[in-house]
Amino acid sequence: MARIVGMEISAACSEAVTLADADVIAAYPITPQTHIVEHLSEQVADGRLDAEYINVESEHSAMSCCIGAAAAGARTFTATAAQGLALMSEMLYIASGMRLPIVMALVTRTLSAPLSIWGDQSDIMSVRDCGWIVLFAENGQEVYDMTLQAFRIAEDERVIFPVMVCLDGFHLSHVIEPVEILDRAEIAPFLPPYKPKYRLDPHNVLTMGAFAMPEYFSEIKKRQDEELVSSYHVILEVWREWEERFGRHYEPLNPYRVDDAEVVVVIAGTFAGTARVAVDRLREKGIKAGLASLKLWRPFPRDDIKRLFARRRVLTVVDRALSVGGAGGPVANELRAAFYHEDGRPWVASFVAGLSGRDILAEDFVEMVERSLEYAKKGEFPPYEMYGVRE
Amino acid sequence: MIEVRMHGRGGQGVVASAEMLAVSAIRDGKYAQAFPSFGPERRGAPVVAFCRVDDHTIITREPISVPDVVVVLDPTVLRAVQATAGLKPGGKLVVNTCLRPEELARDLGVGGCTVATVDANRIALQFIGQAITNTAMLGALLKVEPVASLEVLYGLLRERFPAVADMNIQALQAAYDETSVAEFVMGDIVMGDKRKKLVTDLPTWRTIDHACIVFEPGSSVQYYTGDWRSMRPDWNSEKCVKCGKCWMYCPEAAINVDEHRDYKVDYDYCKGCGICAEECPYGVIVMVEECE
Repeated sequence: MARIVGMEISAACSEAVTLADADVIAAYPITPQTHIVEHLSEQVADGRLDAEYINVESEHSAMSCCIGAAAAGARTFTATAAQGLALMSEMLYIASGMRLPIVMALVTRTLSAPLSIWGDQSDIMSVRDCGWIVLFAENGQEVYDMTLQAFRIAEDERVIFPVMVCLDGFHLSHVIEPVEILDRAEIAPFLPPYKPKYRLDPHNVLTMGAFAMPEYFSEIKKRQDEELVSSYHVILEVWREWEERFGRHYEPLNPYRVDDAEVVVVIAGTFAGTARVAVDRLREKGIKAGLASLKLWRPFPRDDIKRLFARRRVLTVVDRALSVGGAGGPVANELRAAFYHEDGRPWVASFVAGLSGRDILAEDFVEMVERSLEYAKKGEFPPYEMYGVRE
Repeated sequence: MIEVRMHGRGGQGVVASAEMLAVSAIRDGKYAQAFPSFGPERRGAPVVAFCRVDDHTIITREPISVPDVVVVLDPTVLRAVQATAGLKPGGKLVVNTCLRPEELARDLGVGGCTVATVDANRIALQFIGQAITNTAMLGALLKVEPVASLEVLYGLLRERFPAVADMNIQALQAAYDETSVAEFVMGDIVMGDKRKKLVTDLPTWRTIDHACIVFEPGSSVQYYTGDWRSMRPDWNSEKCVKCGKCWMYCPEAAINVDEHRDYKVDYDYCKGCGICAEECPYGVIVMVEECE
């Protein structure tokens, strides 16, 4: 039976991997690693999880190991963060291009320099185009749920893509929270043992990772793109089933008080929680504010965005990543692009905040919303601004 | 604009000859452009390079698919690629071969173009000491299509390759003098190797495999690596004692044994590496030029 346990969110992620009965875990154990793989190594050592745990010499090797294991038909997991993801980035494209259903927890943290260990989302945004399905968790329960959902989505024969579950470094990874933990009997019908459609097998030979000449490459990439886009429907199907079985609701853009809102905060990750507090305060002040917490980054939920924001006056988009010398925050830019051809498109105020562990308080969200409304009144928006930097 | 396409094999200086032609034309005050066809080339594999020469700035970056001139540096490459593909009617085909233009035109079944031939292998061996035919074939090319002057090209060779410039210049001049040219008015430019299927049924994004997985085992048999060969193992079966060393050492498994325990080379896959000839204890196997 499901039970509520107070635990560190990193440990909750590990518990989900144990419940998913992963076959192979490959991870580099040194910083910027988190407790996720530490807990998993304990679970394997204690015999709670019958998995091959491979201590590798770098994150590049970790993902390489996962690619080999997944190609051989193993349910495969790894976790990393920040520079670790950067070192792994070459292999991320290979994992998705080879269509291997690897699941990875990404503890989002900043990319140095200056040397930093704290959280933001510059790591995930640096691999925006790597062809993985990318989910953002807002709290410990979502980390646990999404890790289990990720295996199911990745392995679905209509999908077969690697899936990344993003949880904000420290603000989620190192926090103790109540998490409802499921048992094997409950999860079994949702996540049956992995039966790969294709795998390396000496008795049924095939070649994976083959060389493609230019006259093949674009067709393979087009297929990859089409299938990543259409994985959206499977993700929604899995989320509906999750709600039916376990009662927790998921959608690509989780809305809060948006129905009559004239200004909506958009943010991915755990600071959406704080933003809810800010929305309530703004409502008390008579400002019709709302929030959309972005859970699904890839495939980009274009239709949900258009539907939810069709007649919204102002969007206050808060990115925890800076596109240095670019046109705006990564999420803000994609929202702008989604609406470019639409009549009555909303104004998008792009704020970059919460870099390298700097907190975004509820009053900061209030301030960003009020500033967005001022820009709207003037009819003039800066392309983007870094919020809260000392002038 | 004159557009030249050059075919040869990796290591024969195909790309370098296109480059030297372009630099010579530029020094002559013309506009020129030279570039290779990029790919996973290795020594011995078919290579293509392109050269454009014009009186005006050249802005296109397209490959040359309708050339005025096709130069073939290596006779064996005619087996491997459709060298005359797209050659303009009335265009020029310049080939390194021991055949006369009439013989080559008949063999290839080409007409409606000028055919020039020269035995550049023999010339290169005579003057350079090895069958590197790029400079000789530049001589043959300049005879039928004077896109650059010989003097400028000689100057460039002396600058770039001072140690071997003289022998290359001699080879170039000899090829220029010896090239036979004939015009074939009647007929169409056709080509090729009947075995090589034209690739027209490429998969679409809907039909291609989702992860580029190759399901067919042993599909490498579809790849005729024998096309890479410039030297061929020749067998004197009477001297063979059937020891099987050639079979054992062949890295391509291109030597087969028949029911009489006779060893035979599969020339579709033999790359001509020469290991069998090196290992044969009785000198049964000798490596000979493909053209012989």
